Amino acid sequence: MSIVSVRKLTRDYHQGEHTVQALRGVDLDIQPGEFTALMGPSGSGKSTLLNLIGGLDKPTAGSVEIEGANLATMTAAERSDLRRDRLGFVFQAYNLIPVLTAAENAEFVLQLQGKDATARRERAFETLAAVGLEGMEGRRPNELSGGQQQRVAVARAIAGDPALVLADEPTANLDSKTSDELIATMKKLNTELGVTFVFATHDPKVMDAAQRVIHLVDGEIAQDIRK
Amino acid sequence: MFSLISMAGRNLLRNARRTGITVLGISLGLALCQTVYNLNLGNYNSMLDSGIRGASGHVVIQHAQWLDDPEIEHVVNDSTAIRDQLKADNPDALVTRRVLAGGLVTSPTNAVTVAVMGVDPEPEAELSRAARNVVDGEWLKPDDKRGLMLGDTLAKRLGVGVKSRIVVMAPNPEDPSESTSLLFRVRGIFHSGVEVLDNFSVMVSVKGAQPLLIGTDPAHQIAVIYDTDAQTQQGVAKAKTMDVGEAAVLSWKEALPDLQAFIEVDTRTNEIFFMVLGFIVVLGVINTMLMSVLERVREFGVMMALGMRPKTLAGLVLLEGGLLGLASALVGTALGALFTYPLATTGLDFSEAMGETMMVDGVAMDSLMFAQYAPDRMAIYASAAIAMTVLASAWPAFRVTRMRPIQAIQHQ
Repeated sequence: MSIVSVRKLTRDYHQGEHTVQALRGVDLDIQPGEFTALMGPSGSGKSTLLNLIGGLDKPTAGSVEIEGANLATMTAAERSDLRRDRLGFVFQAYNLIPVLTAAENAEFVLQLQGKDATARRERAFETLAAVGLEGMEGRRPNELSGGQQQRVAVARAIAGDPALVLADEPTANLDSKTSDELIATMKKLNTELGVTFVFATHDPKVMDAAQRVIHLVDGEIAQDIRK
Repeated sequence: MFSLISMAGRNLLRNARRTGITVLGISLGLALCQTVYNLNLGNYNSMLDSGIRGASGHVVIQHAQWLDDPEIEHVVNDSTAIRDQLKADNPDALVTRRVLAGGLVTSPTNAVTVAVMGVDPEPEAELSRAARNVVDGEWLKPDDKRGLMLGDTLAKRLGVGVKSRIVVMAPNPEDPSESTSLLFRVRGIFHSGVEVLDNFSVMVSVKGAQPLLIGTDPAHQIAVIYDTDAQTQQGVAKAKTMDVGEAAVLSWKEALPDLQAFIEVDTRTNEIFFMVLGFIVVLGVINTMLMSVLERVREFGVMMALGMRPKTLAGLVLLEGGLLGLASALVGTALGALFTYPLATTGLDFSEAMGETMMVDGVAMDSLMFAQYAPDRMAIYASAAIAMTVLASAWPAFRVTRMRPIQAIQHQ
């Protein structure tokens, strides 16, 4: 079964009297273990598609199913629970919680899942180690570099053992070396732990690392390349 | 390890200056309310004590019309028997009788119209401000029928001293068109600080004053004064069952309605002041919490994206309000105690503005006012401060529940 199943997905934005069609009837399936990059110019609908798959936004028409569950039939609380239990997010601007340490950020989702303190702490340390941040568990975000913060964000995204990690331009704010390291880390998580990733990105390095590259143009899938 | 509580605490410390100013504002408001309450409580209790000891009693038996029409003929007969029964029923309490008449006191050099107060010397020695402030001579002896006490100002006006003879002239109770004269000897001179006592009153024993009344062993009031609230409650209930003929048995609340009303009105006025102050504080807290929420819209969006339910986020905001209130309650209560301490020990001296005493609804009050610390009320005020702060956070918390994750994440 597909992790993600998108059918005839449309999203319109209204700007005054004008209507902008960000997505125009997109059909898409993501299988478990895929490492997929959504490519395309600005305004092509990458982030919109990612937000709709993540249940952060509602489509104008069409449907999104995560592991067979239709987001349109869920309440806001049910969508929250789905994001908590089955999805992970990595944002362009890191978006760590500034009052929490790296370990606490990583265990944030586990706390929401109701895991006990010991299990949370163990898992947080394990994921931070997996992204190469051993020894930095007690640091606050303002004590970490941009690359380290983004690694914490990746650790946070995978800590809850999600079916899918959605990453919106995760390397956009990073320098080339740090970007390479982060991509390598995520690729390793994909190959070794089987974590499914979907990226919205402009970064050709991500495209090189991806098994599947989907080109979006004007809200439609122009190309779907599997390597 | 972290919890929502520790997260709320850390969020408050993000902008320590703003949080500190808010806590200080709430704390000062709370401390002000607590201090004003404590000072008022001290004053009210002092007024009640003066009123109960000097003008009524916790229980007072008097003619049914005395309260509305304190005429000299409105007496209670067989006052000694009633007093003795009250004494037997209340062995730990003070029981005293009072006679209140008008007359003209004359000395060889002057004559002054005064109030003639007949009292039972023994219990009144513990109750009367005059008895506690004898400056020359001594207080009346229990069976002293011809002894008289007067204030220092009146003594000066009459040109008399201890052992001087004084004649009290008053209407003859049998025939008001005639007068009757009673000869007394000055036993002592007092300085109570109450002008009406020091300048316009003389005190004699009940026996000494009874010839000014008509009736069988008459007195105007027989009063019981208790030591504790529990004794008072029991005593009032028991006295109400006594057979006192046509006389009335009143509790102090019934006997001092004006004083009771004054205290209630003053208390309500203060409560309105406290509420206005609370409202202003609430507005300040709403502003602080709203700013705090608006600064973190993007962060809230991320938390929602990670699976935190809007209600939990709202709970976090309320928790922050609660912690703000708790800190303010602790600091405010400490400040309240600090402000109250000197007022409770040294007192607040209004003598320059009011003289030694002031009269409030006929009750003499010391111009040196003492606060009385009320721990239970302080706890209520502190709890109210916490509740108000949480309440003030409700609107910002509600705003959080209305946020949509995508809009919140994209918030600049």
